[in-house]
Amino acid sequence: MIINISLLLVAFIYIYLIFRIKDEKKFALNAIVSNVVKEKIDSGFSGYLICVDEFNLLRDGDSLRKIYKLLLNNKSTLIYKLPKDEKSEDFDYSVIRQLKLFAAPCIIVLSDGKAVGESLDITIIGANETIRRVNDYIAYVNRELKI
Amino acid sequence: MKHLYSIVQWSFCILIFIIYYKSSMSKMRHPYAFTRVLKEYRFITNEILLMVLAPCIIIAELLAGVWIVIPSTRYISTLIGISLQLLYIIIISANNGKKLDNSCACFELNVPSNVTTKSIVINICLLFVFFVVISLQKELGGFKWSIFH
Repeated sequence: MIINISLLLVAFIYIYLIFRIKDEKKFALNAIVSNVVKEKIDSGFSGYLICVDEFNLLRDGDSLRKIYKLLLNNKSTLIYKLPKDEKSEDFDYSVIRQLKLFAAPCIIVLSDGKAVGESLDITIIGANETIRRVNDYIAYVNRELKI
Repeated sequence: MKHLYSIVQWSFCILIFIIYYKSSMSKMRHPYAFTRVLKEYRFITNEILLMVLAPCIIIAELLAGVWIVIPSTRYISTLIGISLQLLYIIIISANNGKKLDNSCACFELNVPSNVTTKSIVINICLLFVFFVVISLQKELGGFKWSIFH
C-alpha cells in the first residue's frame, strides 16, 4: 500500500520536476553561462549587460520572468551571474567595475541592493521590489534599455 | 541488547531522514540548478538524458529519506540510499579539487560547488550509516518484508 501510494506520488513529482526543469532552462540559460560574457567582451561586445547576484533569481516568480523575457528578447543584452567572493558568501561586486570598463554602456544589476556600493555608479534593480512591483520595473527596464 | 540495537538503528534512521529529506527538498526547489551542477561534474554530458535522470535522482533521494523511517520499506530505502551514496561518491571523487563556476551552492552535501576531500569523506560516512542500519536490522531479526518478497 505504502509502495503504491509512493509510486503514484513519484510519478506526479517526476512530471512536475521535468516541467520545472524545462521551464527554468528557458529563462536561466543565458544567465549562467558566464563564459559567453567573457567571449563577447573579448570580441568587443558593446551592448547592455545585466548582472545577477543570485542564482535563485532565475527561478522565482512569473513577474521576474517577464523581465527576463523582455531582456532576453533584446539581442544586445547579456545576462551575467556575478561570481562569489572566495573568502565570503558575498558576491564579488568588484567584477562589475571591471566589466563596466570593458563590456557595456549600461550595466543593470539585479540585486536586493544591500551589497552594491553606490560608488559603482550602476543601475540597480531590486529583486524583491521587482517581484512586488513588476509593472513599474518593466517600465523602468524599458526606459533603461530604450526598448 | 536488542533494545540498544533498536534505539541506535532508529537514531540513524531519523538522522538519515532529516539529512535526505532536507537535501532532496533543496534539489526539488532548484531542479534546473541541480541538472547544471551534474553537467558541470561531467556526470552525463547528454543534455536530454540529464534532464530525464536528474529528477530520478531527486525522487530516489526523497524516497530513501522518507521510506527509511517506515519499517516495512526500510530495506528498499537502504538499498536506494546505498546506490545514491555510491553514485555521489563516484561523481565527487572523479571531480576532487574542482570548483564549479556556475553552481548555486545549494547542494553542498552531495554535489558541492567546491569539491574537497572533506565532502568525499562526509559522503562515505553517510554510506557507512546506511550499512550500519542494514547490519543492525540483521541483528534485530532481519527484514520482515521487502519489495522482493
